[in-house]
Amino acid sequence: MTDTSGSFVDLPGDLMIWVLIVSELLVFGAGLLAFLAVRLTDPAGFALAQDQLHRVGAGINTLILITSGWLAARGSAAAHAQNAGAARQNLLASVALGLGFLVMKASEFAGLFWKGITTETHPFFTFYYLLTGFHAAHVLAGVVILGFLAIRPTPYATENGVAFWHMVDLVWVILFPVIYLVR
Amino acid sequence: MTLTRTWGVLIGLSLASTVLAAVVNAGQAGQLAMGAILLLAWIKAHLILKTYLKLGRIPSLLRGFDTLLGMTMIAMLGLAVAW
Amino acid sequence: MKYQSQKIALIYFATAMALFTVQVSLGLIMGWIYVDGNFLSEILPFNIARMLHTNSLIVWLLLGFFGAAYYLIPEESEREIHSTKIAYLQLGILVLGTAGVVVTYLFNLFEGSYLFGKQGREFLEQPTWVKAGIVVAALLFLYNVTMTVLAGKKTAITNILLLGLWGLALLFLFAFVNPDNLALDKQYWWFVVHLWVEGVWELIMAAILAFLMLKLTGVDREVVEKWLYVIVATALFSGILGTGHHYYWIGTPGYWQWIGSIFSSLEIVPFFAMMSFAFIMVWKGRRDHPNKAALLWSLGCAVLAFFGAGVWGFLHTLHGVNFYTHGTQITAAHGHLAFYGAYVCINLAIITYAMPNLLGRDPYNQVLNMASFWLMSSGMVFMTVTLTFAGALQTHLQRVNGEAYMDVQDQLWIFYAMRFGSGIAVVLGALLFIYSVMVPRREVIERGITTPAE
Repeated sequence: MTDTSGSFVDLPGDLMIWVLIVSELLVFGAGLLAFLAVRLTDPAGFALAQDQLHRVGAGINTLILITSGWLAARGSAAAHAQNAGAARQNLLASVALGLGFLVMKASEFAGLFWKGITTETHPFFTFYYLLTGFHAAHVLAGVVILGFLAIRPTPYATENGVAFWHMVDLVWVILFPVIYLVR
Repeated sequence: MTLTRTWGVLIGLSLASTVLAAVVNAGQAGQLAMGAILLLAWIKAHLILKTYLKLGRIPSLLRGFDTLLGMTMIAMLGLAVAW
Repeated sequence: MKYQSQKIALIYFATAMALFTVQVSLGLIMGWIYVDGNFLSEILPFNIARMLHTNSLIVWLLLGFFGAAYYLIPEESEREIHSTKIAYLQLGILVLGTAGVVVTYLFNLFEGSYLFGKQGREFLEQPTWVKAGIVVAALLFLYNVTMTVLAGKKTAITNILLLGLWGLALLFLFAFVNPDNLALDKQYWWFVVHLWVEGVWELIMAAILAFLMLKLTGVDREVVEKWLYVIVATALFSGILGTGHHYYWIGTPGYWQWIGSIFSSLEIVPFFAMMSFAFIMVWKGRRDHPNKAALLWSLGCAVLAFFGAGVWGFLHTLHGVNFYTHGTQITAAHGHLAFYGAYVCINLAIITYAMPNLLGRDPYNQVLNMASFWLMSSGMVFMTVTLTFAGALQTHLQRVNGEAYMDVQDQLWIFYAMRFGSGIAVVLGALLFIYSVMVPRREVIERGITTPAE
């Protein structure tokens, strides 16, 4: 007897990628909530620390990631339409933007590091480095995945890999305002 | 909503958030602005779930994710504007 | 028993049971020492008894895992074990090492010797020659079972089981890493202990549980496999960085408090999944397997593991709580129910399932066996509750009020007395279990519908 509950059969992508997506959302969600809770113990200190960050750069990174997600989604649609050429183009464009995000991030980390700001400088920065650092690691992983997909954009693999990329996008869309803007 | 239209809305909402943050500073207006920014983030997250991640195709599943997202965003709103 | 080489499991299980009696007997002795501190203090100091208690636990659980592997791999891969000689040689090495350990601890032989004397660190006190023997035994085992699976059918169950067993062996190598820097020493120590019990051991447990559910409930293999992959994925995702919940106070940077708290809180998910999995399989299954005792142990395992490892683990995993409760009787409460629920029970479950097949009999002594489950489990749960109360009181008096350690221990006497009582139940239950599986008497209590196993 096969156990087929409706939702799991229609799931856009493999069950396992969704287990991963939900797990990641839980971790980042918990991290952001913890950040906001600790912030209540020292709102002024957190605001001062936040002023060290470059909001505009991070804002541009948001636009980069959203656009990259759009291109990846188009790539997935093309893969499903058996249009490997279009899929490849969109995925590679998505990769390029992802790399752009990482370059901006790297320069951001470098800037702070040379100012002598580490995870121990202030609780704000403990969370800043942890959350944006973990996120950046996932951007890197996503870039690698999308890169491999560009080589052979099969519909099934592309759908799952791109779903991972959208998760990374989704996390940033909440992470950015909470860390960089809320004061 | 098509992929491209979704992208357009997401870009628009992101620009709006950034403008809000830049223009409004401290005090009561600041609290409101923070709340608005987080609300915009909530909408962006919902759009990504619905259109990019294609959960819009399974309404029951989207409702589930929306519920969790909603609870989380409300908690964040509460913590962010608490003081 | 379909494959002759499955018989290897018999002697592994028998040896495991022998060590099980040693383990719980020492537990009872220590339980009495907590009540009357000078009991046997001249011939068996508490720390020696403790070493024997913890070490014998690990060895008998490992022997159980090895036996389980030798039993289920031939059935899953549909071929005989690569070499029965290697299997017996492996056991010989482990038994020799265990004997060496017992004698070395009891008589404090070769004190100070790197090769032959005790090596100091908790759970890793074995002399280096024994550790080396364990590595050799592990390599023999991995060679043996991997060759078997490679030449036969590869199933999700064998894949996960092998992944867990390989991980177990490779992580044990960190037992040889002993830096002078105390913070680093502890960091690596947890690579063995945490990544074992909150990592690869969970894979082994999940694989054995999946095998049991497959045989006992008759649910389709594909369904079982889907559950197994979700359980393993959530276990690894939460458990690997969950190691951070041991890095709160050992001298590592403060960010570990956040990594550890968040990821380890998720460690409850795979245990919840295992519990759901077990009950849903029974609910949806169409097979009414005659070995009811094995099913009871399997379901009991999933539930007790969820509470012991999952719930009790969560109770003290957040760094804000752990700051106060670290190293108190709360830890002991969690540790006992977690080990019992997850690893003792899964071993007793597979032994209960396999023994009748290994001896060529219908499931026998089931009532006695099931009674032993209730006796042992009630004992362990009661022990957990008494130690939780003791730990809460200890935390408040010692960590909040600042009273001295021994002054606080004096005030916990009543809990230790109750705990000793629960220990008697556990020992009696253990002896009853061993009798029920080792001494076959009556056959099935009610005939079930036995369709041949897949």
